[in-house]
Amino acid sequence: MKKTLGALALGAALTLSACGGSGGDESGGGDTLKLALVASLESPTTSLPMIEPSVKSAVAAINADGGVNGKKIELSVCNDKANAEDLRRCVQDAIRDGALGVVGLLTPHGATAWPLLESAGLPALAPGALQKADAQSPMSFPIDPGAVGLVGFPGAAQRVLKADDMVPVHLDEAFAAPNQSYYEMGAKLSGLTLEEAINIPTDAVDYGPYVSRAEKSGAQLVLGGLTTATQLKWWKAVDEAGSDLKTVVSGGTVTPASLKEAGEAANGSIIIAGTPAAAKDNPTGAQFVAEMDEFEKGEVQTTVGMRAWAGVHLFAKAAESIDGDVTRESLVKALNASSGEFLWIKDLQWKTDGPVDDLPRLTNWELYPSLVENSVPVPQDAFDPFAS
Amino acid sequence: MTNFLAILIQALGPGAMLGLLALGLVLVYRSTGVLNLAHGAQAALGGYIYWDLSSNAGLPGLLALLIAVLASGVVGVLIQVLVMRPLRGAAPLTLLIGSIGVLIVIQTGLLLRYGSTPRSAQSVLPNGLIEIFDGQSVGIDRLLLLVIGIVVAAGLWALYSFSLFGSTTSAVAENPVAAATLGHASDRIAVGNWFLGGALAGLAGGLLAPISGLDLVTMNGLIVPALGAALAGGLISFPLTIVGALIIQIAQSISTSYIDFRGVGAASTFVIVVAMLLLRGESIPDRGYVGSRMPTLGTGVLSWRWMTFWAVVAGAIIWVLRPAAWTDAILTSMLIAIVMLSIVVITGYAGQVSLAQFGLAGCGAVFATELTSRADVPFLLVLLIAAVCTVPIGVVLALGAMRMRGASLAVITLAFNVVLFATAFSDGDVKSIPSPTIFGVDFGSLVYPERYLSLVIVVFILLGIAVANLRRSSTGRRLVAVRGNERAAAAIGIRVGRTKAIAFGVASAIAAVGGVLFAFRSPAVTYTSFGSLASIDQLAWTVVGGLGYVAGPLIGMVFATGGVGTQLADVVYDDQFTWLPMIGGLALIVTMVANQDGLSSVIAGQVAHVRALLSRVLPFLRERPAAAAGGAARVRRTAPTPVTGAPAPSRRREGVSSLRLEDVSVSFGGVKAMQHVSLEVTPGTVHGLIGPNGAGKSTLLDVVSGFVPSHTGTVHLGDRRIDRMPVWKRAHEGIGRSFQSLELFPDLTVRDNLRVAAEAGRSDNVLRDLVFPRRTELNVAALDAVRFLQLEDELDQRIDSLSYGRRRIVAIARTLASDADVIMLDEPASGLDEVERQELSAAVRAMADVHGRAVLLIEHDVDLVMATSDVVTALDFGTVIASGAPAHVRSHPEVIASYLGAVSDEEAVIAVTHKTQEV
Repeated sequence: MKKTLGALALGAALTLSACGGSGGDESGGGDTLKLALVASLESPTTSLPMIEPSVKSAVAAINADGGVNGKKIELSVCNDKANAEDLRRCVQDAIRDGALGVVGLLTPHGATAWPLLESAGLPALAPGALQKADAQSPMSFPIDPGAVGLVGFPGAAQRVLKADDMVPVHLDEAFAAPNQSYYEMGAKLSGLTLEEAINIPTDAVDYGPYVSRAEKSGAQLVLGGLTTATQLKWWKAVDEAGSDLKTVVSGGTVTPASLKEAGEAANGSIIIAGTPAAAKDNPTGAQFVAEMDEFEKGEVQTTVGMRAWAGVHLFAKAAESIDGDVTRESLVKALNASSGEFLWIKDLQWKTDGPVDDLPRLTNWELYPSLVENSVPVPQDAFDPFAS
Repeated sequence: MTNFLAILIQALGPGAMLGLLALGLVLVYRSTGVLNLAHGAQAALGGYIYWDLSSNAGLPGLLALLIAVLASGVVGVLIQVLVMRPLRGAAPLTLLIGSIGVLIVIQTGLLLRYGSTPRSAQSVLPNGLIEIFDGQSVGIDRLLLLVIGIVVAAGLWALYSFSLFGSTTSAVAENPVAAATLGHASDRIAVGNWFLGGALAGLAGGLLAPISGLDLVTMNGLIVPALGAALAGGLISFPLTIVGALIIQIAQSISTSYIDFRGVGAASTFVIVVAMLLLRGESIPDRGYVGSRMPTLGTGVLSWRWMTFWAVVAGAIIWVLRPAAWTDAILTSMLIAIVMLSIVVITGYAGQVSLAQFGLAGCGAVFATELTSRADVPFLLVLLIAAVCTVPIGVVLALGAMRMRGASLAVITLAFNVVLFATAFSDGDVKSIPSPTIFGVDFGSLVYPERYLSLVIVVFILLGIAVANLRRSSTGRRLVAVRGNERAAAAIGIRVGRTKAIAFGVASAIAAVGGVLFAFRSPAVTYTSFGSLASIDQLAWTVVGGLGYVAGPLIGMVFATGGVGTQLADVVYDDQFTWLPMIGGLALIVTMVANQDGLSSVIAGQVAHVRALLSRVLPFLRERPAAAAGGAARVRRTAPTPVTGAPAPSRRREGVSSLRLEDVSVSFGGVKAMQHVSLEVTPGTVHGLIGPNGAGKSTLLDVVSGFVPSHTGTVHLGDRRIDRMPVWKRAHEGIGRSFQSLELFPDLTVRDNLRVAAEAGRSDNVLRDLVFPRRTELNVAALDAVRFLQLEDELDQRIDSLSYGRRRIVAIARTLASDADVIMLDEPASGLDEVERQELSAAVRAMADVHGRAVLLIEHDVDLVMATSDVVTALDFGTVIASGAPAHVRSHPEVIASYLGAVSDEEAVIAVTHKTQEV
């Protein structure tokens, strides 16, 4: 009997599944402008829940201000769960639902998303660039270097900590494969040489031996291409080894919670972000904080969230510049034609390619280093590694 | 040199940590038979409890650790009571899938409770460094972990070696029924072991968390090297497990220090594990090995009406209704379903647990991408080339499968997938491939999703037909025979290794086709989807769908990530319904508990039931009383084909060879099992072999069959020396045997048991079997056996539906069906009643007299042996003590002494008979 019940339950599930179905056309001529949030909001590997309130706060602020040319922004939310198949589903849903743009995109599986976005002519606004593909697609409109900002790590280390001998540390996995080339490019730009890179197996139990290896290399500093969890592990190992090796890390791999967990071990490290701090000490940060507080006080405010928030404002800015209906095509055209100041960026444009050959969509290379003091990032002077 | 030593010493701490984790795996496996893939999640749970109590609740570290250990032990008990106990008696594979359900539930629970933010815990062990060489140092806590690992391993060894609990656990693990008969409560023992296993996981988690970091991924990621360490200990030895973990960690440290290529750490672990397994593995399981029960198999008989019906329905949905949201979800599911078909072949049919199938699909994707980037190759040719190129990789896995099976094979294939991911799939760059085009028609899924989905469905149907064909073919019967019993398969002449290689080859090609279709789904390809966890998921969902059925993947695919199930959840629930994975894990466990053979078997049963009901009112259904399963395969049994007509004239074999053993000796360690044994079995005679237990009778049969090598002497069949030939080759030469424990193929009918024996000597033609399997009937020898042993009415029955006595007869018939010159019968009268014994005696006599075979009969029933045999040889302590006519041997003093000790001749002769009958 229980076997029969099991089969009946499955049958019911399949019947239900056959009853579903959805569709939708590109929407721009109605009363609302559809925007899709696609991000890894919750998953065992990567959870960025702060992106959702950040984006919603921007939508709420713009709608409260009368919308875009009188039209309210309608937001759909899809959790890509940090895997390629759910990301594909989210993007397909956005396309079918008639979204005009996608915000919040920050995924190592971008290769899955870009062909779909390109096929539908659906632009991604202010995506986090983690892979080369994120900086190559004509549908990609990044506003900061993202993880590809690793190019700026050697320069930042030289400027902030006066270091000239550094060792790259990588996770031995596919996603980290291009990182070494970015470090080498940055070292070349800054006239530095790097020690031989250390690759840590993904199933390494203890990072102690790798810290010991970094120490033995004689480097003053570590260029860390790790994840949030493994970076924390690295800091712990550094602390336990009694090492004073400092690390340069990406803003995308550090959260307030992870800094707190790291404690003193993180002090002295440099965090490189592609945006100013998500704090009141700069105009963009202040606006972000204000809108977040207005939307819902107490939400976590991070640069990752702020980038996604900026994506909504970029959408509004581009849509406002369009005469007539806002469509994907007109939006892409407007984005490609955009120029001038946008939030913290002096001249945001995608008319001409960026300075790195195989990363043409990265046109804004302003980097924002922070020095961790007492577990709090203290902003340092921004710089452009490609500025002469 | 000092640097090398420093690296070595620094690896000891991590090795001990890995060992601690592995010890729990070993404990659970050796006591309950469960390869617990949830062990890493249990360790993470222990780590989180420890962190929560020590960092948040402010408890002292040692107290927090103690509570974490106890709580983890309790969770272990819950796993036993709620999951493993209801699965008691299930196939090891089912238990493994149950543990995957537990893994999902624990991991989702931790995600819901703690989120995915990594945590940093403080160690209970003292910090501080000890300088070793060249300014390098090692942590005191790491050295203490080494001590703890060794102490725990020693403690476990002592517990399981010397305590009543340990010996009872061994007894229950060895033979639960016998242990229960002796009054041991196996459930209580299992609860105790699961508590210990959980507690060990908690201890490992609590001690590792401060060092390895605490998040939802790390400890699960350690499961592969931990399993490797566990395998080093043969999944049974605690001390060797610690040693294995140390070796694995040292190898990883050294390789990453001195070798510069991507994935070298994972590769070093794989190499070490393979080396250790190959050293330990056995090509053919020994006599104590009993094949594990596997989920049931469909027959592979296709229902073209159903297939056409479903194909039309699918076409209508895709092309008429055009449900855009569902097209993509169905496509995702169908792509996974193709890879799952490969699991049906390798694990369902051949019984080889492979956790590398999605990795092999990834190989197909790599070949396709590399090919299209270099040349303008037509899409269909790409499919073919990628499939062919992946076959050798599968065959490499088969080399491993020749030396290992079950849990060992599962781990090695999982490790292989990990290595593929770390090396071949580690290129993070996006590759471009062209849109798939067939005869000028663009099938690109971005522009024409319906076309691409239709193409994938057609490929699935074609592959499904091929897999169903395979099941019905002679190759398929060999696969099922190997799955059921490798010893028996080899004994009837099946080349077990070659059969496994065929299974891995076919499955690899199918998986590769799935991988190519995955790749061509998008013009931009990365290989990061082809991870080992996906392989585990797919095996789990295939088992849920029905591992032995072609329709199984069609059901299992529903659960694929991003597939139909996800879309359904999206429609029914909110996209961010965070409890969904938890429900999925619970559903997996419930499905396994409710139906271990998969949902296909349930559906097949229900369809048969409905048909039976309908046939009462619909006569045409009565005409075709077959059951049908949905999808591509129905499980209708083939209509019985009775052996009719007058009995064929009995064939007397001409030119039958005699069997001759000369001076054969065998030793197991210091035990001399056979000493200078010589005997000859001539055609047309029955040669009886008697002796008390342990006399060396079955060993002699094993020597002749090839399962046991002789240390001295020779074995000849006619004028051919056979003692250096492999088992299958001896069978081909004319050695046939039955087994004391029957060792039939339980998944095959009586007919197929005979047919597989009759076909064993034929050459393989896999391609033909995939496309157009020949319908073969029983050969003359098998038909003779059927008539001779009166099995006509039972030909289409499964083995498990027969009485024990009839199974014995089938075992003899299978031996005869191989048309061997020499028939060796190992205690054929065991379990038969008096009437059956008399019939058996007549049958054995007829084998010699009528068929002209040389028969070697081992039997405890001395009366039967004496009445049936022309010549009798008596063995004691591996030595021939008497040989000659039955009357001579019966009255031989040494024979009498060996059975009863020295008494009067007359009493002893009587006693010999009675005593041996009692045995």
